[in-house]
Amino acid sequence: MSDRARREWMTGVGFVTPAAAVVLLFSVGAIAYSFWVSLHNWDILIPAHPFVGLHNYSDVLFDKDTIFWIALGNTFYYVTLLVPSVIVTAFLLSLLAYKAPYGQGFFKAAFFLPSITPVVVISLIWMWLYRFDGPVNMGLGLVYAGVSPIARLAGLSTPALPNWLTNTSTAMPAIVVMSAWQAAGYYSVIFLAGLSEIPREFYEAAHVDGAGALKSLLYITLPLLRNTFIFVSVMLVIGGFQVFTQVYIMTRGGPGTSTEVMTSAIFKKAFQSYGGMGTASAMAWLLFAVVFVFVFAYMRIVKSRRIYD
Amino acid sequence: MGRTFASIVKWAAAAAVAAFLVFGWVTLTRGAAGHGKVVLRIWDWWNPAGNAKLGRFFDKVKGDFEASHPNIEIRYQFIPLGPQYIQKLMSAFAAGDPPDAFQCSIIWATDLYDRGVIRDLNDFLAESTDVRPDRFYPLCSAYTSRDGHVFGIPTSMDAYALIINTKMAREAGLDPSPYAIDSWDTFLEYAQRLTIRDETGRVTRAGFLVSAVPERFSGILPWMAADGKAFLTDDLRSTNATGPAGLKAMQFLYDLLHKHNVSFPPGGETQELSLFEQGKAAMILGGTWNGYHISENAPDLEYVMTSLPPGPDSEKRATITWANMMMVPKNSRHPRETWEYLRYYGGLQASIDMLEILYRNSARLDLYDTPQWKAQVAAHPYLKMVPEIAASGAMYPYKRFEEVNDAFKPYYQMAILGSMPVEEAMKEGNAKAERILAGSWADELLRKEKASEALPEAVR
Amino acid sequence: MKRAGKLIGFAALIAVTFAMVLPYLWMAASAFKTNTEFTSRPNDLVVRHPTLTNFAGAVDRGTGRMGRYLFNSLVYAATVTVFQLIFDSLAAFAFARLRWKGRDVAFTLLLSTMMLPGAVILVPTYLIAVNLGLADTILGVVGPSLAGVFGIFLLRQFFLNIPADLEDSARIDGCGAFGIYWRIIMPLAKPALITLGLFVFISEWNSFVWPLVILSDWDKYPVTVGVSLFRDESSIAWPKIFAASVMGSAPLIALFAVAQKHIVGGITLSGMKAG
Repeated sequence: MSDRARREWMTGVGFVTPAAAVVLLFSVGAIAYSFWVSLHNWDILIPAHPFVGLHNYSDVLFDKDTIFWIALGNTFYYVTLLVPSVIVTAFLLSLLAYKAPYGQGFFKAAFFLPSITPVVVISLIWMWLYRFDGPVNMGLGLVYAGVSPIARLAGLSTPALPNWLTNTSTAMPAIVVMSAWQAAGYYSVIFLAGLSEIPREFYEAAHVDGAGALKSLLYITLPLLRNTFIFVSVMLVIGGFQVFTQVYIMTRGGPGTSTEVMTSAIFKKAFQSYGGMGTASAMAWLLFAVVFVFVFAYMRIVKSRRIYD
Repeated sequence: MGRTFASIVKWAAAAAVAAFLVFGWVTLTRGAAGHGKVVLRIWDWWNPAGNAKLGRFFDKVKGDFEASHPNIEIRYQFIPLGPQYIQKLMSAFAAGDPPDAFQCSIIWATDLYDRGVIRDLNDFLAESTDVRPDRFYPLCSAYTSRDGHVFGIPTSMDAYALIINTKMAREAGLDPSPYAIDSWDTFLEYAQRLTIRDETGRVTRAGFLVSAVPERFSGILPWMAADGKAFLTDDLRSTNATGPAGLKAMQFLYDLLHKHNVSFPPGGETQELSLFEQGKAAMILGGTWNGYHISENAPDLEYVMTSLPPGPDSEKRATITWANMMMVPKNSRHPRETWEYLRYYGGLQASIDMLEILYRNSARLDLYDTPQWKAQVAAHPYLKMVPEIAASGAMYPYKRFEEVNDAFKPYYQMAILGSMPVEEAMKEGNAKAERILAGSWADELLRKEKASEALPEAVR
Repeated sequence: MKRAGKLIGFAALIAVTFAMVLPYLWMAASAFKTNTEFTSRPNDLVVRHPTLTNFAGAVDRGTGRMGRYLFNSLVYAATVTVFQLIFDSLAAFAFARLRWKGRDVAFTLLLSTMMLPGAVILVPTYLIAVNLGLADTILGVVGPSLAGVFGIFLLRQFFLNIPADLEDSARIDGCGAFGIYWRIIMPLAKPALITLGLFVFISEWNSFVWPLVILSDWDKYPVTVGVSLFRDESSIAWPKIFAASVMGSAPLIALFAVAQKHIVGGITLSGMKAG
């Protein structure tokens, strides 16, 4: 390298080093170390860490008592419920706010509020809201009071109000609702920004051509927001795979194993059981692989369906 | 680039932030500065944040101890009971910085001891007699020692107890005395007669609350004991869930919930003690430690505690009893001072304080001969039954409890909710538990390590 | 007809907004209730006998310690913010404005780490921190967050948009790379720095899992961990937990109220750029 090039290289590297050191140590370094740990039996209280090769991986994948598949299934379940609900809700919210004659700033702020509150606090609030005699059931009770006469006429019965967080079939949806509540506001602001980018003339031209509100929505708004939708869904999927605090605070993975997601299973294995760090690392690596493949495939599929824009 | 006002303000702000940060870092890094005293960090889960009486208790213990040991300062830290307690403990051990002493539940004690991170107390016990194992109820030794090596000093002795609202019993024409329920059939009769239903048949007052979705599967334990069997087999390698005791206990609970309808439908509110205090349940399976909670929240409630009546295969009343303990990490920095604290905390005065402030009975035998005990029993009649209930208890399944609980609990739930037949659920739960109890990769390693360690003489 | 549609839409918006804010109202209401009122009328939004005892209890050193937790959170968040602003901007400058061998490869590498789920690096990061002797220390808590790829990415975008001729004159005057960075680029980057600073501050204030795992001494707990441990042996002290939660989130809400434009603007910026 010439003198000048070397000097430039050193300057560049010098500037980057502090940040890169932190990031690389705690991400690339961590993930490499994680792989190393996953090849051993590892207990933080015991100094010896016997090498076991891929034994942890085969345990995690094939052992009779493994939580991996259940946790993976629950995580997929969570993401599948969360992503569409947030996208739909956030988009609708943004439409409503976009059309608001005044106070847009206020509404943006109100929507945004849940996302700057610590998730711990939100989890505690909703844990209390979901109590058997809490406000959620109280509200639903009022709705039922209004709806049940009609339902009875139709021959249907209203289902009993459950204890949301202690019922295996309602616990996960309850957590999804709470997460959706938090995320919808955040992403509605992103959709709003996207909406404000669409030139008014498009809508006016369409209106002149006789298109109604629905047609405008389908043929102008949605196509032009395609990139935003993609961005939001990718962020939601990646975020969904990381859900932890809500589960940890509200249900601890219960009732049964209905809300045990990958992150909580890994956490329990690593920090709340003896000698499970190796296994937990193996689970983490498998999770990494799954997320990687998923996002990769998703982006491929989405990028290939090109609509002319 | 002159000294404009804006520039000065900017630099002042930056300096203020820097100063704050430095102050913050120093405050958070400074260790426990003890003014020349030895500072002992003690961890516990009896948290004054939830209950002011606990604050009074710890204040008194600390005050009295520091008065008699002026060179020692006690600093408490409280962590809620549950997985987070063991997680914080293990984290502290891994970091090489555990507390000087901590209260430990039986469900973690032996596992921690097996891993070689707990200090053996035999050498200290050889010096003084006041907290030797023979000062405490005999059942404690199984929990606090292994092969004669003592690693824990018992603190409070707890047992599951049937708690009965005596006023409701009398109103229903039933004998409210502790031994009146003498069999499971009589129990069923009581439960049925104490249940109140509305016109639609919905239970408005539970005769007996069956816990359907608990944190642990412990609801079944005392019933199995009442039918003659502890949960774990004697070799600690399997459970008795698939035997007659397990099946009958599980079936009994299921029937109480679904067939005889004496409890609220599953999925409803599950805070048993609160429901009992609110008068929504006539009988619950609580514990001998519930006394102070009831006195706080429902001081006028008349109740009695008793052990469970014998099941069809047994003739003795029974329950489950255990004693949590104080333990000391192996590489404790101040072993002598810590031992002084343990002697005090496990001694008679602290037991008396525990009794008078918290209505909690320790495991010390001599407590029950003191005038303070008699006075407390006069003031809180339920206490009279407590020693007897405790003495009738079988062992809690302490071995690898967290994992066994994680594995078995879903099957308990499925059985009690009826989503799986009792026999099948017990069989599968037992199979899972056996695989866990069979041991882990660490057992061989730990055995070798223990064998090569030089340990002080075992104490009788 | 159109008028009516607009009104209905607006009414719906107000209703939805109210629904979104409702949980907070409950939390705030419960924080002011006495224990008895909370047990007897838990779902009421209107407090009949408001009290400050829960807040007092939350702050009390024996029963709450929120004061200490708030201080800790502030220290951690401020530390991380200051360091990220410095480290990230240095790195972003190197990526945006300097030419050096391997620059683009390094950037792609750093960017790819954004996709790592937190759960994957939680355990090894913990082990690394423990091995470095950072367990239960302030450096341990803030260490992994002293720099962030998001910040580097955001600032690099911003720097790229600053016209090149501004620094040409400085170069002619003999200004070195650091001089350009400090005297030209940074002053211009104020809006981006403010946005990033706010983001990082809020994110660190809200962080829960990492401090939960790395800390054992409760004198070092941030607000998030502290609030989560507000229980005693058998129950959760709800009114006090809510009082503590209000105290724990109030600083952020206040910050948000003041700096709303920057925060909201920031995410729309990042959303649009990436989308």
